[in-house]
Amino acid sequence: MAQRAKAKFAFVLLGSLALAFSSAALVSTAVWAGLGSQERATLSAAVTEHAGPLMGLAVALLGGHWILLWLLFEKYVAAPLALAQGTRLLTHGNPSYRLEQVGGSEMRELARAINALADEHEALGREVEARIADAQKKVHEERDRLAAIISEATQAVLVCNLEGRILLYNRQARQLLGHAAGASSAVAEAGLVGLGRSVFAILERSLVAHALETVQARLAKATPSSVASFVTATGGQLLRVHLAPVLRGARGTPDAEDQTDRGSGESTITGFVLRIDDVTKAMQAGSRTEAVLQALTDASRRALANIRAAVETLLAFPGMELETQARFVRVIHEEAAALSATIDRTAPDRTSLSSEWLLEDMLGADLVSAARSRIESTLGLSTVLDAIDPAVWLRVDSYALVRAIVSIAARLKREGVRELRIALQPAGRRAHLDLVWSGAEVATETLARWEDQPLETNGELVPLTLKQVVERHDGAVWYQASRASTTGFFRLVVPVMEAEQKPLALPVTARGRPEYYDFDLFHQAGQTPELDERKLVGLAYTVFDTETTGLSPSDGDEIISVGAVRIVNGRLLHQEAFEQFVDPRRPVSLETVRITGIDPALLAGKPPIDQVLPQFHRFCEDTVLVAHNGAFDMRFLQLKEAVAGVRFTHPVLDTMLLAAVIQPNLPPTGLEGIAERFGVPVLGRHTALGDAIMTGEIFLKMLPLLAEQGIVTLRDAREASQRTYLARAKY
Amino acid sequence: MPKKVLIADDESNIVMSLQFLMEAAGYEVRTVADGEAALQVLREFRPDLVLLDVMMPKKNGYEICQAMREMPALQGTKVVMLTAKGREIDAEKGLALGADAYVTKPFATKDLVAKVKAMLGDT
Repeated sequence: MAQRAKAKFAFVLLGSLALAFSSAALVSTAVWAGLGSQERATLSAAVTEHAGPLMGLAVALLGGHWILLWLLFEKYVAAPLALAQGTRLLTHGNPSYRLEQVGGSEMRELARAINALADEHEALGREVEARIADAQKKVHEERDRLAAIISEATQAVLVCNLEGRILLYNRQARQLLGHAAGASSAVAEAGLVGLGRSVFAILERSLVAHALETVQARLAKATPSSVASFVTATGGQLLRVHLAPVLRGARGTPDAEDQTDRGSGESTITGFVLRIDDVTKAMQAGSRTEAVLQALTDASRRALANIRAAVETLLAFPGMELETQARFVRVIHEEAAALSATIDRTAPDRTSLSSEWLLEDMLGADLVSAARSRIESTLGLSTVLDAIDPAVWLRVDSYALVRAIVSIAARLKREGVRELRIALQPAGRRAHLDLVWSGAEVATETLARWEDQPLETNGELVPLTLKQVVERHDGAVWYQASRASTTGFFRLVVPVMEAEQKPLALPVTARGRPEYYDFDLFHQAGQTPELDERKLVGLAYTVFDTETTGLSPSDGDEIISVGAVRIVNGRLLHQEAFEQFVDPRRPVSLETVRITGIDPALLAGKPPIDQVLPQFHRFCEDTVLVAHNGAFDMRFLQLKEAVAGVRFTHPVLDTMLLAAVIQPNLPPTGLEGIAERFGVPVLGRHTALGDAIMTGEIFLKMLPLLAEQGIVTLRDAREASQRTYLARAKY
Repeated sequence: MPKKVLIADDESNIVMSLQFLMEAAGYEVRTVADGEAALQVLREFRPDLVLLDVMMPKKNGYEICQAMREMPALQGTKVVMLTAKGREIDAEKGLALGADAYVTKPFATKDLVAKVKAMLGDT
């Protein structure tokens, strides 16, 4: 800046000198031309005579001119430059810095004015900081209070923000969920439950998304209770999860009486509280209660039918023989007495008739796939999906129902069935779940017996019959077998969820990451020809994402968390997750805190990047990396390779580029936009694991669409990505 | 020749009333008390209508209904299911498996008689 100013100054100086000289020369020439020859001789003689003083005058004029311009430069060119520099320093760096008063008086006046502004700016900054500190203190106090309350709760409680980051949890949560499922690597070391971790390592994202949708729908309708619940099975445990929203703008809890607040539908969900029960045992108690109630109802109906028929016959035929009359009266007496006895017998049990067991919402396709994977893994019976309606939500006891289905499959297999087709179709308020077989002759008598026999899975008997499971669902089971064609089917009729849904409209925060093209995604050292020829569907992937302090890795921005999840055989393995916070060893900007919701205090004491990357490297071993805008994350990893002593040479697929391959005519958009295009729920943004899971779900939806375009192998995908990348770079 | 009605129910107390009512309505009546007996009698008696209890020993009403629908000789026989199972879904199941009507206990005897007559075309 100063250099350019000096150059400018030199230019102006030379220019003005040239101007002075040329005007002097012009005047001299004009005068000279107007003179007669005698006058010319006189003038040149005079000039020659006074040459010394004249030269001195010229030099003095020149020097004066130069000094004048120099002063002008110092006071009005260099001084404002210095002012500008100082102002920048106090805006961006040190708010207590004050400008030196240099240059002309006007410049000094300007410096004083800027300093006055700086005083106000600094005072304002202090006030804002004080307010932030105050607010944070209040937040901490509230959090401590909340923590005290939930630590007293007998149930497991988790408080999460909308991104699914765990903000608070109690000891019960850690005990209940800590050992859920065989978690791997770094996650296992630290346990699944921890402050700042993603809850989606514990609970299926889709289940939570669905529960939030339900809550949102209830809020919109101002339903008194805006709590949703679902049941999920993890690691042999059956968990019932209640989800209550944390609302902004609502006074008190969402269960409060304040209807006006909610009726407006204005309050936004900012997070959720999960209350989790282990209901594995309650299920058995529940089934006993159901059985008692059912038995009582059936017995009453039967007895009343007998009494009523007898009484009505007596009334209709008053002229009946006395002996016959007496027989009818005896029937009435007997039945009435029997009914009394039944009620006496069952009544003491009525205290246990609580609705301990509730049916929970579950995506039908999830239930089918849960049953299917159990059938294939425990029985080795191959299954085929027939017509599965992906939109059917069931209201079921998933645990018992899956056992029932597996039990039927086990028995069919023993009857010689080699392959089972599964179909799920809605039928009014219920859905038909059909297990269809062919090629084996099964007698209806055999099928009938199964209804009343205890369920069995893998040789283990469950104290529950198929009939009980079906009755609990207020459903039915029937079967039809045709000996002639050796085909048949089992139809389980189960209830569907009451319709009260509306599309999820979670607040979407916009943050554009730059699309980094300074990392070459296409020539990774780990790309081998063998790997290149493998089919995309069969490869193992690590889908990952990083959160960073900022957007410029080369300007010192650092990774603050790495999240990753594995895809094997076309399935996203939620339990095979990696999530690690990193101490960036530099301040985290408020902007980052706002976007990621990461408390900088949380990062202090976490391992530094040179310890985390080797762990992550182990997690990624022998897999293909998948990331959204992968160049961005790879660039961050690459800059840390040296300190971490590992190299990420894995082939990389980028969902942002693949989206452009699939939909070349749509404008590029962020992860959320692409999620919406591919029908993946947007939830859990801005946690590394949440984004990684979402990216993984999108990637899985992309595979069949890529296959339609003939993109089948890793090479195909890489080459197509590169083509669209080049096309975009040109554009 | 009177039309024939078979009553299959294991509870003699209701069979007594049903038999009395059906005979009073002018039908030839036979009764059985379990599922296997029901299938046997169905073959030889060839009734025009069966009052079929769902919950019976040996074979339940659903099974009998399915078996009947596989027997060509019994295609014309009407099936009225009688049951203490009062849920809508049980009725759906009964009708899906071939019953012509489904009556939940307890019921008004007058209505049952009227229904039987209607199904046999005797109104």
